Formats: sequence, C-alpha cells, structure tokens
Amino acid sequence: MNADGSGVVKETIQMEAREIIGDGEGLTMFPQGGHSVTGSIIIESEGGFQGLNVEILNVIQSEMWRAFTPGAESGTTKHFSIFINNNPNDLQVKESILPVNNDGPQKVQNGARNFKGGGMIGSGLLSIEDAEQMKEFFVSKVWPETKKFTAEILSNPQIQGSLYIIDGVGELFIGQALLVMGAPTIVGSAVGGIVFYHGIDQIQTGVKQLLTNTKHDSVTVVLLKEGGLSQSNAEFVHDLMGVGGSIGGAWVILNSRLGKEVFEKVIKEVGKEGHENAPKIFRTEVYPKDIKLSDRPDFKTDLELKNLVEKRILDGDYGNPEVVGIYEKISHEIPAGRIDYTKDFLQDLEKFKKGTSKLHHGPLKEDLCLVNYHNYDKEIGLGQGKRTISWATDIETGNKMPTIEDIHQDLALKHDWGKRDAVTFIKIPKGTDVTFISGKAEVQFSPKTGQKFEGGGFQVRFRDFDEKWIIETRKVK
Amino acid sequence: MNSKLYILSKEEIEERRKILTLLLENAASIIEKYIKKFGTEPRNKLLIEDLSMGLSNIRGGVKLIREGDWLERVALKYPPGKRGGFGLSRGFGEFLYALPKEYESLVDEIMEAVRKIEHYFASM
Repeated sequence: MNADGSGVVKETIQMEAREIIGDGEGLTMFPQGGHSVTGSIIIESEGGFQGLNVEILNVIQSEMWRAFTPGAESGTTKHFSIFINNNPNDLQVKESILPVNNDGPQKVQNGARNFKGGGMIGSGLLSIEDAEQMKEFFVSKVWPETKKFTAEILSNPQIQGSLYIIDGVGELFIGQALLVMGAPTIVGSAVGGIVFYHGIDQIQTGVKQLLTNTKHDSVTVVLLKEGGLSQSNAEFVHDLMGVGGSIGGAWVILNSRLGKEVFEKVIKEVGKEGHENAPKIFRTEVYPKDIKLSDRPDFKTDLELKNLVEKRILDGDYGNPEVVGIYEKISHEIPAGRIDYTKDFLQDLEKFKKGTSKLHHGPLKEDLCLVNYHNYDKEIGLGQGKRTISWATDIETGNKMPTIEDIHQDLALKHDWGKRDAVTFIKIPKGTDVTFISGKAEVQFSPKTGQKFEGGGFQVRFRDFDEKWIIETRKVK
Repeated sequence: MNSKLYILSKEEIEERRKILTLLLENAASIIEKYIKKFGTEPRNKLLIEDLSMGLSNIRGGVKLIREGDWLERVALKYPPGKRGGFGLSRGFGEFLYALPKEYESLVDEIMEAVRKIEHYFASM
C-alpha cells in the first residue's frame, strides 16, 4: 500500500474518520494533524450513506484538494487509501485500493450536500491553520499564565481549563470563518454558528475552570444532560465538537431534536456576551477561495467580484502574531523630525516570507548599518518625483549582491519600477530608538513579463525614518 | 490505480483570470482618471511620469494574465499564500507615499486598487 510507483512518497500519515453521521445523509471528514506528505484515510460506514464526500487536508498551506465521491452502500465498511504527491507541480493520487470516482463536489447531492464543500471546507482549513497561529497568539498575549501550568499534571482542573480555552479559540476562528462565508449555503452558516458559539462556550468554561480550580461542565454538556443524555454521552457529543471534529459534531446537533433545542439555549446563554468579548482578531475575514463564484447566490455583477477580493487569506507573513501582538502594545508616537511611514506598516508584512519577520522597537544595542537601493535621480522627501525610504537591507546582504541583477533578485525589486542605480548608506547609532520589521523578502513576479524574482534577501521596513541616518549616497556602476 | 487529482478546472482557471483581469483594469482606469485630471498642469509632470510608469506595469499585467498561459503555467503552480505578488503596492507606494497631503485621495484610491490585485493574486 505504501508503494506509489515513483518513489516520491516520503511520509504517510494515517487519518481516521472522526465522525459518522448516522442519518444516512453523508459524512464530511476533517482529518486532523498538521502537514503531511501523503494521506491515508480509513473510513468506516455505520448506518450507511448515499454519498461520501472526502475532504483531504493536504500538505499545501491554505489549500484544500477535493478528491472524489465514491459511492458507498448502506451498512458497509469501506477502506481506501490515497497517496498524494506533495509536489504542487505534479499533484496526483498515487494509489488507491478501491476504485473511486473523480466526479467532484457537484455529484454530492445527498451527502454533505449543501455544503458546496470547497468554500466551506476551504475556509475551515484556512481557519485551522489560522487557529494554530491564534493559539500561539492567545497563549502569549492574552493568557501567558497558561505556560506556568504546563509543568503540572493534566488532571489539574486549571490545566484542563486552559486547554479548553485554547481549543475554544480554534473553534471560534473556525466558526467565524464559516459564518463569514455563510452566503453560499444556509447549512454552512448554521454549522459555522454552532461551531462559533461552541468555541465561546469552551472558552468561558475554561476561564471559569482556570479561575476556580474546580472542574466545570460546559454549558453544552449541562444542557445536553438536562435534555436526557448521560454525563458520558453529553461529554461525547461535546468532544465531537472539538477543533478537529467540530463540523461533524455540529451535524449531529443539526440533525437531532435535542441538539437543536440545546443549541438554541447555548447560543442564547453564551452567545451575546461571548461574541462581544471575542477578540477582534477573530473578526478577520477569510476569503472562501475554493467556492465557485457562479455558485454564490449573490454573484451577479462585476462590482460584487471586486468586493469579493477584499476578503483575503494570509499572504506572505501578513498577520504574524509575533509582530502584530507586540506592535499593538507599543507607542505609536513618531519621534520629532522623522518621516512617518506608519501607513501600511503592518500591511507590508505580506512582503516578507512567511514566518521570517520580526519587530524591533526600542533602543539599538549597537550601531545598525543598512543600505537602500534606488533610482539616483529621485530624492528622498515629500513631493512629486520624490521617493520614500521605508525599505532597506543590511550591509552583509548588500555585499552578497555584487550586480544590479542580484539586487533585483534577492530583494525582489523588479526592473518595472525604474532604475536601481544608486545605493544609500544608512547608519543608525547605538542607543537610537527605532521601530522596524526585518525579515526575508517574499517572492515577486513582474506583471509585465511574468519573470520571477526569488526574494529571500534580508530586508527592513521602517515605521519612521530620520534623514540624519543617511551617511552617503553613491551611484552604482 | 493512478488518477489525476483534481486541482483547478479550466472553468475555475478562467474565473480567476477574469477576476484578476478585472482588478487590473479597474486599477488602470483609476490611474488613467488621475492622469487625465492632473495631466494638463505642467507642475504635475513628475507625478504623471510616475503614474505612467505604474500604469505601464498594470497594463503589462492585463496582457500577461489575459493573453497566453502564464497564469496556469506559472502562477497557479504555487499554492495560495505562497505566490508572493506583483510588487505593485511597493512600487506604487515608493512614490505615492512621498506625495503631499493634497494628493491623499489619489494615493488612497490607487493603493486600494493595487492592493486588491495583490490580495486576490495571493489568495486565488
């Protein structure tokens, strides 16, 4: 089963079906786990289903690949396995032990039928990725005390509380994403809402547990118990709605009388306050990139198309919590005499390679020497025909770029924007208060020729700049 | 059994081509509007030169996306979030953010239009 015939498969991660929806309607599966090179999925049918919609969380960041919709008979157990080559240039199923159809989502009428899976699941996957970042952000920024509990035993209710919170954050983000993209399907919105509010419930329970050092049932569990479920069954349904299994759990809720009643109460009880307390960052919009525009009920005009793209995913290092989190805390007052480049400062994280950017704020421990490549004919300053100096690179990187072409490649500075025939040397003295982001330049394409500029060179984006730091400008031959 | 895994259908590629082209044309029309508005005044000569350089890039982008197979052959080989961009916001930003306050609406409108291009290109 591991043989793929080409030798490119490097790793196999086995993912099990997390939930079985027992009403004969279908199954949507969210394999958990992070990145994998290949996927192997075992799906067991309990109660049967008419269509099987398998969503594969592929290795490629922010991407979801729809695989196939094999038919399945009621009451049967099906096993199949797929291997996915992670090379984005050659992405294909390497092997399957069962014949499958490659009919795509349109054929799934009765299974995960109204999901229009691409949009919803695509958002879900994005959100899982985002949730991972949000967890880090939450733990480091909002709840640093969590770290000190990690040495204690897991049975400590406080530890469980913090874990509830972390899971809740992830769910919140997923739920929010589903709500945001809810337009294509009412069902998608409903599921998103449930996941969202369950996430809030998780957080609030976790906070309570953390504060009181006493185990608490979440509102979900309490209400399920009130509805007649045993403690264990109530916890089971609750667990189904964890970050990984949230959609399936929500389906259970949607498809049972008790579930609907309980969740009406959950939303009423925790919804309003929880929503208001949700960190702003959860309200980030997520572009449902995989949904077909023509499937959107609101897809009518070019204007709507334009509006659609205002919603976005993370690109480059945009949203890096290590930068954003610190930046939110620091003073935004620009020192006198400096040029203010705060506009789009955090937005420009998209021009850094993912995970490479860092924020510096405060006095320098030693002199900082940088260079800026530019058009010799353009002066720095305010006015027509002038230029900004919000970007620079370090001397070391500069020395590794002996030719102008190297500069273009490493800093992804394209020819399209005029000459880069001059270099300005910048020296910021030790002890100077300065704020900048540093990291590696993101890849860029020339819009004119399609030529790729690799990036990867070290670059600095200043929040503000003092022209006194410029020590020399030379023409590059 | 070897089956080609679904990536993007022809229809979906064309959909992305259409939106990207639309956004590029939108940015071009905004820049053209300001060139027309300010182009008659000699004092705006340097601004018009810079805007024309930017417009040339945008038009180049329209041609690149609309004609030929660069989009599917190159750009869409990269997964969303790993394509980088066209460098439009940095290119325009280098001279637009040097403009005085009186040009604020021009700066905002053009930067918004080019950011939409970059965001969609990265996300599509």
